[in-house]
Amino acid sequence: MLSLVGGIEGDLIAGPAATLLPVQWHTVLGTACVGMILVTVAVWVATHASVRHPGSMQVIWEGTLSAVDRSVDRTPGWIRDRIATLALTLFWFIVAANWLHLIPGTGLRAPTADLNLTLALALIVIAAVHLTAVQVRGIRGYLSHYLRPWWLSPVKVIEELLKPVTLGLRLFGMAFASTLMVLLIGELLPPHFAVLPHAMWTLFDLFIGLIQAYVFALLTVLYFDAALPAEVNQTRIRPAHLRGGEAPQ
Amino acid sequence: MITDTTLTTPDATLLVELAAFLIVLMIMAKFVLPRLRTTVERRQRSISDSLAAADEAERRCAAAEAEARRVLAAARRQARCVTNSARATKDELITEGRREGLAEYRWRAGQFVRERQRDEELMRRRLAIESTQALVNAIREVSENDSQRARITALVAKAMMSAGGAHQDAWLTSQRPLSRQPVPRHEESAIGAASPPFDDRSVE
Repeated sequence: MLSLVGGIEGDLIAGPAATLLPVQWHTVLGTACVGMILVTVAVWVATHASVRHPGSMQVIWEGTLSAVDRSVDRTPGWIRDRIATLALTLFWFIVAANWLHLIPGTGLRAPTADLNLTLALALIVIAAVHLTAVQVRGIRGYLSHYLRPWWLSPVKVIEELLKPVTLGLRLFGMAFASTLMVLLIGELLPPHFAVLPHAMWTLFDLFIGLIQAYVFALLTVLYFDAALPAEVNQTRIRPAHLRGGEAPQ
Repeated sequence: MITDTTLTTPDATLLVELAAFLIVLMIMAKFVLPRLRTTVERRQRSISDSLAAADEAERRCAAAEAEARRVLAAARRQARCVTNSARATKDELITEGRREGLAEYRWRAGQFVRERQRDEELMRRRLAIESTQALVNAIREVSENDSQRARITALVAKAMMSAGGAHQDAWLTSQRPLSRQPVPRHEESAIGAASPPFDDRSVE
């Protein structure tokens, strides 16, 4: 078992170990593939968008866009556009990244199984949230937001510091577990007996990948919601008892 | 190996991933989402326009139906007026025709009565003339000579003259063979004038 785990680790963690700036080239390659696939599909959908006769891909993209727009439709225009663009891009990017390893014959791994990608996405989200909060509230308002009440300031700061970590680790844990399960199924079961469990896990993985992408996008919107003043941000997904009050903890 | 580069230790890949996602985000924000938003907005506008057009068409349809009902009601009113007018005209024509027919009937009946009275008068006169002629002939046969016959003829003529010129003419005419001859105008007018006025009540 130890040797098996070691083999999996060796496969997953392959890369230059002792360079000055170590880079996980598998992850970079996977991310590049995800980016190219996403951009290609998105540009194709955008250029072939039809008002009267939308295709299935266009319907799916417009559906997600409308869903995101509806969740932030009470915020001012530029904030809404920023949130919706970021949330929608994150959703499709994470979906593509989670599903990348399911493409047969490529040998690509899901780039979300590397903390570098998930943490990068979480940092981008948190940076965008705080940048938008500063733009809306101003520096003084932004800082004073953490001082009300003053005795909760350390908790708020810790919470803000932990947000990208939890956000990144949640997605990374799911994707890593999924990849690990695929490897375990392939290693532990004989090839003929592994087909059915592998197919079932693949279906489950598709579902889990979609759910995790949705959760990531949803948390993005909620973080924006919590960071913006109540009179500016009245998103629909925020619980009614929290609208106009404190941010969700 | 797991202690060298653990899965939970970020490295320089983080920067590459940051750059990669930002590039994707920029492309999406710049080229994809605006187009999709435009398409969605155009479709929503198209749907709104279609709904507005449908509402407008429905409104116009309702107006057209109301106009049709109004025109139909007006046509029915007009038809009723025309029917009533035709019915009144019919009643008026019937009344007029009945009145004219009655007048015609009365005139014809009076004419008939007058003609019958004239024929009766003529027949009476002819009968009288024939009787007189028979009497004269009989007297002539029983008379002995021509002077008596001439005297009888003169007396008869004198009697005729005393009875009236018409009788004399009739008698003189009767000297010709008896046949149906047109009644002279003055004689007809005399008979008509002598006939009693026609009584309408007897007709009705």
